[in-house]
Amino acid sequence: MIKQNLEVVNTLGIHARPAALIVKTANNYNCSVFLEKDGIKVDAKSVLGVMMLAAPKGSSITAEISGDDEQQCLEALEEIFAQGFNED
Amino acid sequence: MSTEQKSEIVKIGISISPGVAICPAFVYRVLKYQDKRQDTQISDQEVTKQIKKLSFAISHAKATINMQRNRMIGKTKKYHLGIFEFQTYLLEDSSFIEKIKTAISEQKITAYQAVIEVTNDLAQKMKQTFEDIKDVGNLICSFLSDEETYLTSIPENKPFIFVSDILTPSIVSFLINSEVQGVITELGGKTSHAVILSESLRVPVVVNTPGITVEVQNEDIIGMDGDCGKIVVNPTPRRLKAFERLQKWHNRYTRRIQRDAHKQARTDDKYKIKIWANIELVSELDYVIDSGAEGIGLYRTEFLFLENPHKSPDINEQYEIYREVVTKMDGRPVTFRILDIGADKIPYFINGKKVDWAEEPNPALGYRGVRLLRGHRDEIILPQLKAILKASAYGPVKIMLPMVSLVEEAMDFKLLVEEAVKSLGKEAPRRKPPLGIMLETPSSVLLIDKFAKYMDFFSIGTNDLTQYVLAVDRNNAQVAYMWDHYHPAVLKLVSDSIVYARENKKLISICGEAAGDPYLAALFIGLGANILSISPAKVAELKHYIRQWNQQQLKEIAAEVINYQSAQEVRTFLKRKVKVGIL
Repeated sequence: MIKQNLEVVNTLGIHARPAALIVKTANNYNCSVFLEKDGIKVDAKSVLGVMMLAAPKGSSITAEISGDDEQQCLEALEEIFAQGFNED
Repeated sequence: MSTEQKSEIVKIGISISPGVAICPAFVYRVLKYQDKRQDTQISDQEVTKQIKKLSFAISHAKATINMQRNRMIGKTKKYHLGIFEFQTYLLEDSSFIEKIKTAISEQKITAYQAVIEVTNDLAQKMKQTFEDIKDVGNLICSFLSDEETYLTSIPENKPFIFVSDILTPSIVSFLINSEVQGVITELGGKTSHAVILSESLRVPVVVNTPGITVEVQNEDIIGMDGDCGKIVVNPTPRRLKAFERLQKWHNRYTRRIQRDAHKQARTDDKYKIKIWANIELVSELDYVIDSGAEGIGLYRTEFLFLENPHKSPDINEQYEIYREVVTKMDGRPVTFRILDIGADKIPYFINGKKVDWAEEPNPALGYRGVRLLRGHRDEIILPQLKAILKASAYGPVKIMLPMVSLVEEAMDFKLLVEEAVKSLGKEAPRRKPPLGIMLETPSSVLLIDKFAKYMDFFSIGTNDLTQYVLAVDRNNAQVAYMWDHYHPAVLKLVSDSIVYARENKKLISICGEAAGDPYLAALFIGLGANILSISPAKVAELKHYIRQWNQQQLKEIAAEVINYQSAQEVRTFLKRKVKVGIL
């Protein structure tokens, strides 16, 4: 299992479109992916879960990934977070 | 007169898209499903039935969203389609469906009521996606309700102004093939997804008019002015006349400027100005051709690479796209800007390989534009050059390098093009396209005579040039007020560029936002510019203004601007001196 902090950098934070992108990315991998913020832990493969994080710009989210392809999955998530979900 | 004059209502909203419309209203309340409750308690047997009904409604809703998405493809940027993805994921989300099922079985309510309660609750919790979630809720409800089907009541073969409480992506997709003349909504701001999508309807759009769906009834006549956000319901005969005059004026204005859109733009003292267009996507091509643009002055190829972060187009895919652009432009020049990535636009995969991006403390001054290309010479720049060179067999092509600050970069670029030509062998074009650089760093302007030894043309990129010469990041709210195209330092560099390019007998154009601002365009023409590359939406209008200008007068205006010391002074002066209006 790997744990890694991800920062939300886009102006609008995680709203509908970024949430869809996170779910899409997580679903590309077999590993389990959980995201945690302020004590709320959600399944990154559920768009409802991701929305529940209500993460604005600047918030930090902990990703907890485990499975065979956990490394690739983490890299993919790091990328979409770092590019601000292609938003700004 | 048999009908009594209904009382007039005037509202001012936020203008999203310009234009004037006078038409009967079609009122649609999206949130009405949410008002109607089904309070009946259901029996245990009914619970199973309702859950079955729910699954049926959800699969229909999914199919509908897919259809809506397909309808919008090509009519909006791919980015905006993401909203339909969100809605699809929500409909596939087992925890979402489970929530509704639980509500049905535990509270013993109908599927319809359960959907309303669950989506209302979620929308309240997630304010950011309020409208998108309600939209999904309504859509499911429409398949659970025996009443009118969702949005199928939109008038057919009849013009109307669409009035609703909120705008949702599905509404826009329904409107796109209707005779809608205007859109007015109670809620919504400039950043809402649906509002952004609504621009593709190309009709006036005004948002933020609280209460309008209650005050307006179907068939009420509405006059709307999308330029200023004004709406008049049931206008008095006098006001109606005023609106008709405004509409006539507006139509005449658009027709007037459109009539001469395809003619050359010359000042009244016969100074010829070429107006080219900037594009990002191939889907904009028809628009560019209609606009009257005489060429493409800036084709931002990076969007091709950014659209799918996991797979950038290979040489053949690029070639196909470039060939289409060149062929469609039918003899008019196309200026390809080599992939300009880094800073704010970063793809993470290039040709399927992950690119490592070091964290940069100062990305605008870091690894971007041509600097980055040097590091990815074989994976990015060579294949792209080859694809462009091959496409150049179909029409006039120019190739331009972004973010250049050293003369060596231009020299390398030239060698690289030679190499690409050589490696193409028989496929190499007979005529080598002209090569140029963007002037967007102060050093490129200061050394333009040195660059002129290697390059055939120049294009001033006013946005980055402003950022670098004023040392201001426009995205940083604390200093953004300093970022100004009108600053005399920016204008001095533009002026020097034009003068030096002329002295060295090189073509020079100006692309970037500043060239699309008529006051600055006038100034640039006064400084000697004769090619401006702007957004296709502004081409016809700018041509129209140019025909009213006199280059000699603009020269005198430009000579005076050089005396000013602040952006504000320049702006005030230009607004007083330059005539921007309709003939």
